[in-house]
Amino acid sequence: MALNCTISRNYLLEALNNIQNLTNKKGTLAILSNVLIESTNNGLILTGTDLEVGLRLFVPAEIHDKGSLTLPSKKIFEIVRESGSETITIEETDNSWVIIRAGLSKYNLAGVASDEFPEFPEFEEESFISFESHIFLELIDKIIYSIANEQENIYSLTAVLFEKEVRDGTSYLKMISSDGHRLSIMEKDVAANLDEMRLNDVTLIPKKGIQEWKKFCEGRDALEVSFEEKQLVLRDEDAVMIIRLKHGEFPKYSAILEAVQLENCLEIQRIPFLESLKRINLFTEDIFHTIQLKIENNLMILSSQNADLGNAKDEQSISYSGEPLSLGFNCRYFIEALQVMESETVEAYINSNNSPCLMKADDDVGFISIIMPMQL
Amino acid sequence: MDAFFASVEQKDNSEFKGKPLIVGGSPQSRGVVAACSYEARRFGIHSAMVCAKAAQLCPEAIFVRPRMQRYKEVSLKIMSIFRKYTPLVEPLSLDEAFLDVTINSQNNPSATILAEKICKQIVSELGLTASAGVSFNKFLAKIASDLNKPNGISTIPPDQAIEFLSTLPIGKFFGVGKVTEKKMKQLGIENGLDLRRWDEEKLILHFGKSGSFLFNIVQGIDHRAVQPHRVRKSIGNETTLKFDSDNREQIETILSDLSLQIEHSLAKLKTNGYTITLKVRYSDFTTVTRSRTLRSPISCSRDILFHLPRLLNSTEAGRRKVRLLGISISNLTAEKSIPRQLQLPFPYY
Repeated sequence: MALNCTISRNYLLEALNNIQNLTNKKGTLAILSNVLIESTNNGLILTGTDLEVGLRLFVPAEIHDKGSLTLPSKKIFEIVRESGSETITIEETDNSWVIIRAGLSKYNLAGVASDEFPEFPEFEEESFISFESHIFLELIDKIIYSIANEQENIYSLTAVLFEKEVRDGTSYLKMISSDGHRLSIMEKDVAANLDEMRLNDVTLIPKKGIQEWKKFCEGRDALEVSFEEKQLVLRDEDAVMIIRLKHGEFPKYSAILEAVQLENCLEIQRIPFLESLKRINLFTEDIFHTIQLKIENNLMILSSQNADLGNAKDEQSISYSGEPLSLGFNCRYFIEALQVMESETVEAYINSNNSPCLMKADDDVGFISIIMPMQL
Repeated sequence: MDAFFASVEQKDNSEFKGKPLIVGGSPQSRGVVAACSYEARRFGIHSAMVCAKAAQLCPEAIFVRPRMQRYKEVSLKIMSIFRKYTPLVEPLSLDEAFLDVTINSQNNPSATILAEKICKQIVSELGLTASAGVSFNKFLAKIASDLNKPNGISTIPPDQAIEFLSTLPIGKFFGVGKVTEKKMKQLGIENGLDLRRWDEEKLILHFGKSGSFLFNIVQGIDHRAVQPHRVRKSIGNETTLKFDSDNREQIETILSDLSLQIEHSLAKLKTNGYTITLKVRYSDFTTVTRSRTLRSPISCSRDILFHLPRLLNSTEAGRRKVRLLGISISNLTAEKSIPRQLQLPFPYY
């Protein structure tokens, strides 16, 4: 049977757009840069995968003839994007060639037979729990920037640690990320009963999976989530995303939390501090973005220098009455943490120039950012 | 210096004089002989031998623990004697140095006479004997110093160099260790004469960078200058385990101790380094090293412990019994040259 169907251009564009991140990866199997298109009675199922994350989307369509094949994901996306037509017709001729008609345009496009496309992973139908999307968006936004880019030691810091906890009768979901220099922890209370959520001892979601999870949530109000031993399954009525979990170890972050002494506290206005950091960052060196903070009686002096440019200095009034401190930091670490916070005032606990600095704020419930200083 | 550590001990303790003396681990232990007196050498004992074996060869041998601080003191005195003759002194170890005496404080054109004078001065001031090798480059001078031990001087003049090198066994050439020696022998190179028959390209093909060096030295060419301010290239420490161990936890504890010692050395020398190397010697004495060069320098034990587990995982430590563990930091850079991002204090072990 040869596929023959007509689809709304906008539906198809949106679906293909969501799949692009998975199919445009370089250096993988050639077939993975294609999107699998399969017909059902009343629409198409589009599948893209990079073997780490797989996404399956239903798009309503008028099916003239049933069939399945794969097409180059980027090219079909571009065709649909550039098209001014309301509908697109895809008609398979032979040897997986298709004729695509969009308004007055007509394309002959070479595809690949669908049997070469990897099987979409199976998953269990039970044990899905419904959540509102914003829960995960809030969790992910608060920790995504501090995931390590490359594995540097035994710990799998290129992934996010996912945990659940029941405390005083309230259920919490937690995400933790660290690149070895900083640690972000976010927890969120949820109404759902988490008993059915089966997590491993260490549940690690790779960075790519987190990015795709975030995108999945952005287009939806709610979703269903199920954890299996080796994969995380997200779905709603029109889509299924399968994210392969990472196997590995994550450091005992609680040891760091316990080690930070919550004594020497300074309070600072978040937005002015953030703006000041951005100004000072103009004069930092490229890789480490080193700034110096001098903290004394209700005053913070920020400074930076760049061998080629010169130097910069700025001041912030703070609330602080402890010992004077002078320490170095990667400016970007502060900027990235402060950017995801919402509170007007931030509390920073700084004990010495070589111990972790902890930031939290009243209106950022459940969020903790820990940043190690730099040695100047 | 002849049997340096042992000679210092014999000098400091008259009861050790004329007796087989071993400086190193205790006689039952698996530690090795760091140095032994010439009396002990007669029993076939040599440095790097396992102490228990040495005790077996010579049951009456006296074993003492090394006193590095004392040897360093003596070493400073030796080096200052050297410097009275020339400022161009390049220490190789506590008791060995290259001296460039082309220009010297005595205005004496004979290096052999100077060598005699220096040795005499060491005997009269320190009561220790030394041996010297005299030649026209570093490689030959070093070889010559081993020819007439103890308390002797030998000279290899330029016109005898080629002849001397021809009969020199290949294993004695600088840079030819056990592995290279074996490879050389497989290629039919037993001595300098055999080596000289090879052209440079072929040597480079077989031995890499050192091929070119070997090609030159076998013709008596070694242009390396005596460097009085030789900079330290690495900082490291290693330890022989009390018992061979495949206990991962124990191995980690030892590495953790070593890393603290290295942190101390790094701090003392105000330096840090970009490359970390882990050395593992298995119970059968095969030795492997694993190293990693990082983007920001290592300056403390926390940095070391951050990177060690991965290096350790790429060895067979824990599955195979380990005899010796070592860590070194190289690619050194002056401390504080660039700001350094500190690691979170995650519990690594």
